[in-house]
Amino acid sequence: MSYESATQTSATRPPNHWVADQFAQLETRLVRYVQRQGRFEVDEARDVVQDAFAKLCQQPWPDIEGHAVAWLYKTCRNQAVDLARREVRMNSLFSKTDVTHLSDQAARQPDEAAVRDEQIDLVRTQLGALPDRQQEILRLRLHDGLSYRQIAEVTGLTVSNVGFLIHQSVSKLRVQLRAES
Amino acid sequence: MSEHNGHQSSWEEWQLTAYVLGEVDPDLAQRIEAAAEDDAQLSAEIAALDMTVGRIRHALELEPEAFESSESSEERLARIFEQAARSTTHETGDNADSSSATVQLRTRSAGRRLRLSLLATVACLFVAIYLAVDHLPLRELAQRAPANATVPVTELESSSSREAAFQNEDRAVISEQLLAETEPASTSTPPKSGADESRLARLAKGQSGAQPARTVASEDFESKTNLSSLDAAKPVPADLQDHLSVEQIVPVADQDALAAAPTTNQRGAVAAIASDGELSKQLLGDQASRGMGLVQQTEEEVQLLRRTANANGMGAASGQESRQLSRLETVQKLFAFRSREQGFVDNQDHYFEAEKPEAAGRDRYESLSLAQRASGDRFAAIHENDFASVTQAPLSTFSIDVDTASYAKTRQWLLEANRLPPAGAVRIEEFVNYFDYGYAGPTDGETPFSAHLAVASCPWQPQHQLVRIALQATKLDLEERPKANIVFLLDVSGSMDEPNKLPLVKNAMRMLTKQLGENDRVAMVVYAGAAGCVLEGTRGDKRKKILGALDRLNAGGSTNGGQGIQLAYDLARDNFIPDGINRVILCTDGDFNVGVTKTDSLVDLVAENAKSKIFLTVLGFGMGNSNDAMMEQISNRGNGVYGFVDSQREAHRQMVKQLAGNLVTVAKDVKIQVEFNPARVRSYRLLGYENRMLAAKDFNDDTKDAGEIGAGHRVTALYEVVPVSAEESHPAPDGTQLRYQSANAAPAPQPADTSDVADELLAVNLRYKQPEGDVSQLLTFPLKDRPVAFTDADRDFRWAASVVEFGLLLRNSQFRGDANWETLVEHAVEAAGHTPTAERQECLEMMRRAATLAL
Repeated sequence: MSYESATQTSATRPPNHWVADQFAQLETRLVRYVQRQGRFEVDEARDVVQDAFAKLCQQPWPDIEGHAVAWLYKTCRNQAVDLARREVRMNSLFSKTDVTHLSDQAARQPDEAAVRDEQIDLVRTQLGALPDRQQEILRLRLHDGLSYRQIAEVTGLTVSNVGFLIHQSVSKLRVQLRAES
Repeated sequence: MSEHNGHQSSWEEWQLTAYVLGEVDPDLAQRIEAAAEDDAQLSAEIAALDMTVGRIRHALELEPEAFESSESSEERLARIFEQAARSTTHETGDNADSSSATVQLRTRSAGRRLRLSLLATVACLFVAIYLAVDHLPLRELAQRAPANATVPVTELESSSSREAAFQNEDRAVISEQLLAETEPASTSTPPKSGADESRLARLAKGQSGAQPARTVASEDFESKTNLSSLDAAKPVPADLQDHLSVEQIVPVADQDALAAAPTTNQRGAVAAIASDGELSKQLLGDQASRGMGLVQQTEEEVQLLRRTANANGMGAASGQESRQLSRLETVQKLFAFRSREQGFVDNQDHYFEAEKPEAAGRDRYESLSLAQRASGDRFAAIHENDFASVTQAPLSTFSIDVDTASYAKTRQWLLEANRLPPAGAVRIEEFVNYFDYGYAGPTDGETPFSAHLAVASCPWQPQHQLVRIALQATKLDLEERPKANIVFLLDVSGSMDEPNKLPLVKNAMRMLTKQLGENDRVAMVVYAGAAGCVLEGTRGDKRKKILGALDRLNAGGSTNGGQGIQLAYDLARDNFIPDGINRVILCTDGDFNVGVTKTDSLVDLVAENAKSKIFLTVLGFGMGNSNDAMMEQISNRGNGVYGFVDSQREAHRQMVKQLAGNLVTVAKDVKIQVEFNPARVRSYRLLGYENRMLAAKDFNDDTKDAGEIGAGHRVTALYEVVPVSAEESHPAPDGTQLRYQSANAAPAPQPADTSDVADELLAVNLRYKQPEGDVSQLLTFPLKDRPVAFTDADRDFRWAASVVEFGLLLRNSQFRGDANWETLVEHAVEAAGHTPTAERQECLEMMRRAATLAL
């Protein structure tokens, strides 16, 4: 019956098939994104994404249509941040090691790294060494394919801030990767 | 505050990247394309950016995408609709407002947050509004801040006010930001949140029932009570309380600057937000480290950069590395650092202090945390070679040196730490030798190296001349290299547990193991509190086994380098390959803190093993603990190379590109003795090689140890020469036949004007031994006195000269003459040419960075 009520309001709510499309396209990417935000387990991240899609179903239609991607990322992000903050508070742990831990992991890349292309390995390590924020933005642009404008919407920065941060990350990686040319 | 950032950027800075990503409007794209057509450098720039972007994209694409799930995606979708439907039933009349397109997305999503996150938001909003009232005085303070901050900081007072300025500005920034967030909520019509008892919504509405925000806020501490009564109050976490207490012990001088600032309690709240306010911190840091940009910065930009950095005060410190540290840590370090400067704490790093050139304009608050860590680095002081009179000392004798660690360390200081390196860290010869030059190798197949001499006018002292002496060792195909027996000696002590240490060591070793084959042997010894063998001699093609041993390594414990080194040599001896490469590769951050730590006894051990043909290579890692002097010394005595690995790239350079050179020695005990013609040269000065100087008589003494040269290595030495006027000559030191003056000649002999050596400036004598030999061979190369103008010298000559100039400036050398940062970069850019190698490009970047830091 609850399913029914959703269809009843479909005039002003996103149609289910559209949501399903979005879900098919974005779910995996969003889960990965959320995972990175707070180093969550897959299950935790999936819950966050699921919540976001549930909220998407309640967004006014068709206003949301053009915004959906940025909106989903943004919603997931907020949720992830809240979740991460809560966890930190629960542990009341002052996570001095977090950053080190992260870049360390990136640098370590267990067994498979040895097999994989050394170059890619190198890029990845350098990526891992970037500040979290820069990594996030760079990934949103180059991995998730969001535009500067969308990233700005997701992160709350201005478009030029986004451009600036991306430039900075790219420049830094460029310097570090150059010797291999 | 965000606009403030965007408008300052010129299009070269970041929009170039945006252009590459297709993110600029067509107009700008056209302008860039037009400009790139005329400007080769710009188009190269774009191409390079494009390539980098491509590589990053490629690497990201190959990341694992899919994840396993117990549910099918249909099931998950169904759950979503169910969940959506459930909450829809709670929402009545929500549609009325939401159809209005003007409602901000942000507000909408905020109104629908789940209960828990909602509570957190309420707390944040309260604080934000509270701050909003406080906003004006804050802004005033923030404006005042730059004025304070640009004053050179010399005393406690100003430094404190500077910190206060930073704090205040930061607060202003944060509150502004929050205001911006709040504004849409309070000005536009907020969505009704239906049955949800959203205090947030009511608060945002302002008019309805709930107290007007302003009242709440202006009631000072009541806001706190309000917060807790809403049970949304975030208790200040324990770590932030620490933060508070740290701030409270900040010297009294702060209070005056903070007089208008809020109570500690408020600061706690601010801090609570600040930990979320990653964003503002990031922006400050990023702005400060804009120097990253590869496009050459105009002077204006440089100034702008400095101004911003100053205005941000400590904000600048959050650039680069320290950005990763939490705010609390930064504050603590600031405090510790400051008290150290005031002499509250014993000044333990006198090496570092003593070497700090008094020159400067160096911002001592930049990258505090890193500076702190790095202050543990020990560098031996360098006393630069002075000018020597040819009549008094016609011979200049030194041992070659192919190390490059000093350069890599400097790079880390400049590009990572954003600070000028201490003078003691700058060894000019290692700078010069870092670069590849186009010297031709030997052709006769007998001598292991060729020599290339040249002379031109000296760029920083036009009346002087610069003489280059370059050796190029035979290049060797890796396939032809002898069998290798390599023992890795890995430091796994606690201090290695940093991302730029052990993980980098492992990666470096992975790269190396790829180069090894079935005839090679690899063993691994680790040392920490105790030393142990983790991998017995293993065939080089058993990569799985080697990598497995690598991956099991973990850092922890103290360092007993002495014991480890003994074990490593034992293993090397067990697997000894006659006529092969037998080498111990020590990877450490140089922190030998247990056991045989006296440099002398270690050096003896190393030298003894070098005699029995087991050589030592030292690879230094990380910043902060390394005992530079000891590492240099033991690698010198171990007939080995001392390299410093600060990045993946450098690891690749050391382990792959230069592997042959690092493993295969083509000549050992290579000594250079230069004899100057007193008819042509009045005095001379060797640039660099300070710790490689030999007595003239040691040149012919085959028992005296000197530097090794590996396959493909090149050595470049530069002399600054003061050309002639006739002067008295003195007898030469014992044992050497002088070319131009007879040893027993009376004062002021007429130099042999008529002889065929009269037009020679100098002659270079070389002695070397075959890797296995004990008797040295002698080679002599004369150089005619035909100096060319500096601008006519070949590219490599000019590049080497620029690099020396760079070193002189970094050392703030008394011999720097006319050298200055502006012309340095000019000269270097010219010398680097249109298509500089990656190394040279990077060096240019270092020069620019150093120039901004030094100005």
